[in-house]
Parts: sequence; structure tokens; C-alpha cells
Amino acid sequence: MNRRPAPSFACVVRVRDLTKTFGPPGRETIAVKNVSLAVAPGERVLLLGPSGSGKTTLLTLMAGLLAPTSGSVELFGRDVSTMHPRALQSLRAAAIGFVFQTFRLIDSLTALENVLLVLHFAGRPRAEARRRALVLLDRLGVAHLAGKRPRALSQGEKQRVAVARALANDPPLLVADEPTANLDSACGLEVARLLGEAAAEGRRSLVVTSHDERLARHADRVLRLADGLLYEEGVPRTRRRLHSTP
Amino acid sequence: MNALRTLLDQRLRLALTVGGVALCVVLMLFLWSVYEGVRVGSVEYVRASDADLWVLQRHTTNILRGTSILPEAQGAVLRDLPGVASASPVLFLMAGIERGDAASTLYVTGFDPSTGVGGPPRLVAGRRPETEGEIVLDRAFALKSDLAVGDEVRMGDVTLGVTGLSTGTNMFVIQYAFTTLAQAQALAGLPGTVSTWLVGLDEGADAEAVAATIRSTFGVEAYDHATFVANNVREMESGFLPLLLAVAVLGAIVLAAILSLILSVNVLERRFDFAVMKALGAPAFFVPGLVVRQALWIVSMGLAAALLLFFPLLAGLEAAAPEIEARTTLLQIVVVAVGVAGIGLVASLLPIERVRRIYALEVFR
Repeated sequence: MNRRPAPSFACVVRVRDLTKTFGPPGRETIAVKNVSLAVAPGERVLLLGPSGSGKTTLLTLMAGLLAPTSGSVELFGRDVSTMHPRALQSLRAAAIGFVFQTFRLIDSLTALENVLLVLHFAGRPRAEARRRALVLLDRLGVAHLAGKRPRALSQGEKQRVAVARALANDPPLLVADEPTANLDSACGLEVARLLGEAAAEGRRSLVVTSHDERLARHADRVLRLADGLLYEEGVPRTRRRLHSTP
Repeated sequence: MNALRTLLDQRLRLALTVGGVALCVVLMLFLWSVYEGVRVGSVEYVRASDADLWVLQRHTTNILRGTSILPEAQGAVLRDLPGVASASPVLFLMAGIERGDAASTLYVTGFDPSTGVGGPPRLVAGRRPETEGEIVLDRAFALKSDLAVGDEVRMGDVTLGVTGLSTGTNMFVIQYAFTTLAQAQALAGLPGTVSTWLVGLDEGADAEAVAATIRSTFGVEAYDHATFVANNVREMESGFLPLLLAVAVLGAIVLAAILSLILSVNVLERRFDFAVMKALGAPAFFVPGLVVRQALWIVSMGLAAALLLFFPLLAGLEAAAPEIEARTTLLQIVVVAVGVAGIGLVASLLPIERVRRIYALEVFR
């Protein structure tokens, strides 16, 4: 995966005073409250928190999939609230790679076609898309499964295909929602390593939500969420120690 | 590819759906083919006649559902009118026919055997009646009644020998039969009467002017050939078409309901797949396009199955009920195919609305 040129924007994602509530007025549930953060190009951010803490809501807000109740979201320097839905869809297709908690591979498509799908959404020419998809599957060690349907794959294989799909358009931003939640311990750590490597090799930004503290070793920054509040931000101890080593 | 593969994932359901679509298409094609058969059979006699003008009793516009009694003596005066080359008498009557214990009603047509004008439009067996005591039957009627050339039938106390079989004379609910004018008059008990005059004009004669002269001279109706054909077609359509249309529309509604239901089920089953596509940045028309493609695949497979089924089914039906004389053309098949594709598109609207209400966020549940 080639290193991308230096981006023209200072932050891949920047959110300011972000609040999201659900429910009718007077009986709202606050999912995210007054959150501000910025993700720099190439930065790996881990959103840690228990179930219901608001981390998935924050992730979908940051990816432009959900409109905030108040506050603003900028993706690659553009305020998403001012973007036409079609432009936002194109931006998502080309610039954001998604990895979902339950893989969310499409069962009626083969592994290769699952990867081709996002290349098709981004308007890549067919032959080029096919080459790219096969290269990615090969790098992730699942090229031999290209013609298999997801139901014929193991959990770990599915997640590798899902990662290949996320990387298909060489996006500057990867977002992953609980990518290890449905995997056993070894598989989970393997996927975390793959995502970390993909981000590092491609100088991509990576935003991962999880409740698994062990993923912190693959992050540059860890944010903790509880009840919609971002209450801690910092460099994980392991990395801090590495950084402080002469 | 994805649209078809999704359908193929549920093979039994797809087979049942395609079967339902095929049966609806067969129904529509069958109704139209029967209609065409009736349309041709009902007016072929009029259409095939050589008459330039049709003369009938006042206020009578057609021979399918009208009464016309004219004196045979008019013929001599009619033939002397300027522009008239010939005037051939024809008498129509509904008459019961018996053979053994079976009884049926025929539209008996008496014509002048010396000219042949007003006789059967096409014979497929035997010859025209030449004297009293002879009759030509419609081929479908003969098949249904197990009659052939050389057999005898009874009309009241009169016995008639079957001399020939005709086609283009099947009106579905009743069939033409042909006998001599004298025999028809005897059967009706109305000597010296005719129903219509089939008038041939001199070359260069003005048809409208001659028709006007005939109207004013006898106080009757006189129609040129094209108008009279149109009158009969309209009469036939007014009696038959609404029923067929009602059944065809019912078939179309059933077809739309089947398609819409099955597409909606597919959408509900693949809800998360569609949500994933939206989250991954699928263009606005991509997901609705999948639904439309599924509809068109089902319709295409249904049409193919219908065409495979239709002709053998029709042949079987015509063998069992010879009075059903269907006519199927390529144009009918094309129009039904386009119509069914249109129904498929309309049936996609409801599932597309369901797709519209699927949100990318559902992926994160």
C-alpha cells in the first residue's frame, strides 16, 4: 500500500461541540454531548467505552451518516451540513472505508464481488477495479477465497474480506465499529493489527470504536466515552513509553 | 448479476413467483387470442363479401345483433336503379339444429347459390350448398358436434345434408351455417323475404349517391362496405370486449400484486444488505435499481415460461373445445411482453418506497 501524498487539509475529521439527542422534545436521550475532537491525517484514534456510551453514534456522526442535533462536523475540511447528500455519498464512497461489527458482507456476492462493490460505487473502471480487488484480497491472505460466498468463510476470513473492502478505494479515512466484537481473542487481535498496519502503511487516519482495552496498543490516541461525554483523551501508556524512549 | 443471484438464492420462491407471472401472462395472451379469434370470426363473413353496399331494414346497423326483414320483390327494382350492377339476397335466421339427442343453435345464412354471393367466405372441406336440403357448417361447430361432410342434421322436420365446412365463421358464442335462400326461407316460414341485399355497383358509380337513392326509394338503410364492417366490429366489441378487458385487468392486478409482494419480501430479507450499500456510498439509484432489475428478471423469466406453456396449452384447449378459435400474433406477444414489463415496473414502486426507508445507520445496530 503506497504512502499517500501529504493532504491539503489539517484534519481528516473535526467535530466541534457535537451533541446528538434521540426522542421527542422533552423526553430526549442524549447520545453524544458537547464533543469536540480532531483526527489528524494518518492518526489512529481509539474510541473506548462500554455499550451505550455513545461511541457508535459519535462514529456515525463523524462519518457523515448521521446529522447532529447541534455542533458541526467537518470531513476533509468540508462542513458536512452544507454538502448535498449526493456529494456526501460520493465522498463516503471514495474517501471513507468502513469495517462493521458483524462484517456485513453481502451474502449473495462472492468475496471478490463484495470488494468490487465499493470500487463500483466510486466509479472505478471494471478492469482496474478487479485488479485492485484481487491485489487487496491477496495482501490480506484471502485471494484463494475470492470466489467464495461469505457463508463459506470463517469469521476471521470474513473480517479480512471486510478489511479489504474498506481499503478498496484507498481511502484516507478508515472507520471501524467494534471490529473485534464478534471474533475470538486471537482473531480480534489479528484484525486490530491488520487495521493498524493498513492505516500506518497507507498513512490513513483510523477511527475505531471498541470496548476492548487491548486495542489501545494499535492506537496513537485513546478517547474514552461514557454517557455521551468524552472524558479522557491521551496517548496510551505503552506508546507513551515508546515515544519517550531516546 | 447481483439482482439475479439474490433471486436464485431462493429457488423455490423464485419458481413459484415465475409460475404465477407465467400463468398471468398465459391468461392475458389467451384472452387476447380468443378475442382476436372472435373478432375475426364475427366479421370475417362481412369483411370477405364482395358487396359494395349493404342494404338492410331501417334502423338496423349490423347483422350480429339486429333484425332485418325486407321483401324479396325489392330486388327487381333495386337492380334497375342507376349505378347498381347486381343485388344479391341473403336471409339470416337463428335456428336450432338437432343431431341425435344434441341440440344447438346456428346462425343460418341463406344465399343465392347461382351467384354464390353471401355464401361461406372460405371452405376447408366439401362444397357450397347448391340445392335445398344442403347445408355448410362452421368447421369448429362440426368438430365440436362430431359432424363431417356427408352427415345429416335436422332443423325441425327438415333434414339437411352437410356438403362442406367453412372457416372464418365462428363467432365463439354461435357459429354460421350456410344454405340456399329458398331453404332458409322455408326454415323461417317466411317465403319472399330477405334480410339484406348485397349490392354490387357499376364501375365508376358513386357509392354514396347510389346509397342515398336506395335509402330514399325504399326507406331502408344502405351502408358502404367499410362502414358496415366498422358497424359490425363495434357491435361485436361492445358485447364481448368489456368482459375480456375486465378479466385481463384482473390478471394484470394479480400479476402486479404477486410481483410487488415478492419484491417487498426480498427487500425486507435483504434490509441489512441494502443498508450496507447505502453506508458504503451506493449512488442514489443503485439500490432502487436492484429492485427494478429483480422485477425485470422475474418478468422476463415469467414471460419465457409463459411462451413455453402457452402454445401447448392453447392447442390442448382448442382440441377440447373447438369453438374456441384463438388467433395469436407476434404483435400480441410483443405488446403483452411490454405490458407485463410495465406492470413489473409499477409493482416495483412499493418495494422501492420500502428501500427508501432503509437507512445506512441500520448497519450499526
